Amino acid sequence: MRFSILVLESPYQRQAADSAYRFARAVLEKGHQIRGIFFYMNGVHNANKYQKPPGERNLGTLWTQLQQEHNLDFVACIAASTWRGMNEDLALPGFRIAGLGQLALMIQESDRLVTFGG
Amino acid sequence: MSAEAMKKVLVVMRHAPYGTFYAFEGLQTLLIMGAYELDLGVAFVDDGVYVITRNQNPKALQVKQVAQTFPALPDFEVHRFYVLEDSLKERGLTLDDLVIQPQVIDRAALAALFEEHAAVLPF
Amino acid sequence: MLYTVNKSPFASPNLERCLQVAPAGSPILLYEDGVYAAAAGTAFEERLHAALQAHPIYALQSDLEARGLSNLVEGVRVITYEDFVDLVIEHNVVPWL
Repeated sequence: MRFSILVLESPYQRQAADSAYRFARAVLEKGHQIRGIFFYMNGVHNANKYQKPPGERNLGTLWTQLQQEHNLDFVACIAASTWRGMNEDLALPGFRIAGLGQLALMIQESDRLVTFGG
Repeated sequence: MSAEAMKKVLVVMRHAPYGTFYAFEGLQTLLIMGAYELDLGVAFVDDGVYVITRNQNPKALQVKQVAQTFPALPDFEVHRFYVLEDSLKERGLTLDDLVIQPQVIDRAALAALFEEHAAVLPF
Repeated sequence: MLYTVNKSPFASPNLERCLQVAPAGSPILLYEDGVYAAAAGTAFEERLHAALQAHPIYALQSDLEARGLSNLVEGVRVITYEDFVDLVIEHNVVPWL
């Protein structure tokens, strides 16, 4: 089955982004596909390459590893990024910055959309 | 693409505007995704009914008024609007208090609506 | 549909609201702070008991463990992320955030 995931929260404020990461891992470990992960609202902060939590999991690094291992489509919303000062120069490798239309495409091309936020 | 072939997506607004940004971002989602061959609906549930109340004036907050854009959504290919009856009642609101006239549904109808949709987007 | 709830029932009405909408038989997944609803001996236990008559209720193991919750309301099914994926395959999701 083909999944897409929507992430609405930044790391390190709420658990949502961690939950999304764990869920994505489990989807792939079970042999299913991920069409894409869309980072919206404060979720765009997941793409920040300067995040550096001392002595704990670095969610940015984990996302990048996951993206590279499985060649996934990671999109940070361009409008949400502009509002929050996220841009291509600040973004981790593997993240692209593009419009909400990409979320529409992910929904069209997936069997399931699972949202993590709040 | 025929209407039958389009995937149905339901945006569920459950947050009040201004205190959080969810309603604003849910609205942006509706404005953009209507252009992408999706059959879009929006349901106002719990504090989400406050998103479409009349007389919002966030001028002092220096943010855009959220409710005023909803009457224009049909121009963006969003044609289905629903509001949970109990959510209106609990808040002492009627359809007269709203800037649009969504279909009033009960909880069973909301649950049935979820079943009809390929994706439920919470805002 | 699978209804997912991530807030403590003591901090948010989300689980209660979700239970009011979810038709009998719909599975409910508690994760993140939602798992506090699964703890035995709380003021919410009776409500969860009643809900268990109508719904299969699941709680995510890693979120329970992180919070030191092991004494759970009888009938709650403890599941892993892999099981979570299976539930989503079986049922489309209503995220009650």
